[in-house]
Amino acid sequence: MNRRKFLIGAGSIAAGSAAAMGTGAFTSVSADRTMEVQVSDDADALLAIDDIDDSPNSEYVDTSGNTVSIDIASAEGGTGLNDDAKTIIKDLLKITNQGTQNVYVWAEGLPTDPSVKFGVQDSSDIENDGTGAGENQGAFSSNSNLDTDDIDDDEGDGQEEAAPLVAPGGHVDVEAFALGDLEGLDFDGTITIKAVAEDEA
Amino acid sequence: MKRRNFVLGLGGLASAGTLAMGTGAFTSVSADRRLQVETADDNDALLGLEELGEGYRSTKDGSQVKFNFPSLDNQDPDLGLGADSVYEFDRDADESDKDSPTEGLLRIENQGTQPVDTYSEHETDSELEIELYDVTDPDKTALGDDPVTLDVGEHVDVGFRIRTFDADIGTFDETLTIVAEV
Repeated sequence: MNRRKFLIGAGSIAAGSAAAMGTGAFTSVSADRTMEVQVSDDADALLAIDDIDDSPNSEYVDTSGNTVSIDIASAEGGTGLNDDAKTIIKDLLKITNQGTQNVYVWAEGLPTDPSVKFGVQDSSDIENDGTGAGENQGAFSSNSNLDTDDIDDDEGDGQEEAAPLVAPGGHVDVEAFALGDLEGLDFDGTITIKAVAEDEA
Repeated sequence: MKRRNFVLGLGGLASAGTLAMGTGAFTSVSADRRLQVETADDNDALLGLEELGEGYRSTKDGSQVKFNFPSLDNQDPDLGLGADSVYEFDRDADESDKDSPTEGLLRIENQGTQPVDTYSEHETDSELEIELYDVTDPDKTALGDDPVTLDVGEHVDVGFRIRTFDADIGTFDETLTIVAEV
């Protein structure tokens, strides 16, 4: 009888210590967890991309779909840019930071040969104001003088190579410009607007 | 004396034969043993899942972690991720205002007893693509492409990458599967 009691006691200690350790070996765990994601059209996105209210150049911007598209060739009136001239299309796009942290914003993928570039207008509401040289407030597209490897320009060569830094609620007004020999310009492609948090740059 | 010897010999053979048969036949055995299984809150489970931040994007619904993008506390009902885009969320919505923001939206911790590889899977009828990445990885490689090995007691803090190419406008309820295996 005594011996039997002892065995039961040992058994329960073993069980107790297993529980105290808390974990057993596991071979695999597969856990399904739920997520809710809201997708919005460009005007309502965290990085909002829209035309500019009351701008005559909104004619070039089609905001009817979920994503903005720009067509400079087939808008009402003329059908293309002048060759051997300097064309500036102001108030083309407004890009607004509807997120919660400062972001650098710029564009990639614009035509390079011949090239059409995007620049930051001085009507923008940005944190690194006055970064640009000449009439452009700052570089905006990767084929302008923007240095995409150094968008925060922490190499200290002067901020004209930096991308505009946009605080929550701030915006960049974007103009397009092209100059010089534009012969053979026929671009129909996708450009990418990028935003990267200030502390990631 | 000779005969006795012979009998002993037989006995020895018989015994060897039984050993070779090995087992007796039985039709059924029913043995009750105690099994104790508990489910734990995600934070305390063998595969520990812990929400990071202040609860805007990464929360817990009962005992399970749950995620909302752009944010649970969305003041503007129209606000969302843009279509045809790639969004990366390294951290919760208000972390950037802090001096030392909490990086990552989810901590995956190995609270088991052996090293595991951990990654995520995402199956959906929508066009959304969702993957996790280690926020300390400069390349932000998706865990699905390169699972992170967690030793016992180790954790990885992950961010979310969401691709919205060809996605419709609207709100999507998605399921993300977090896997850990030896």
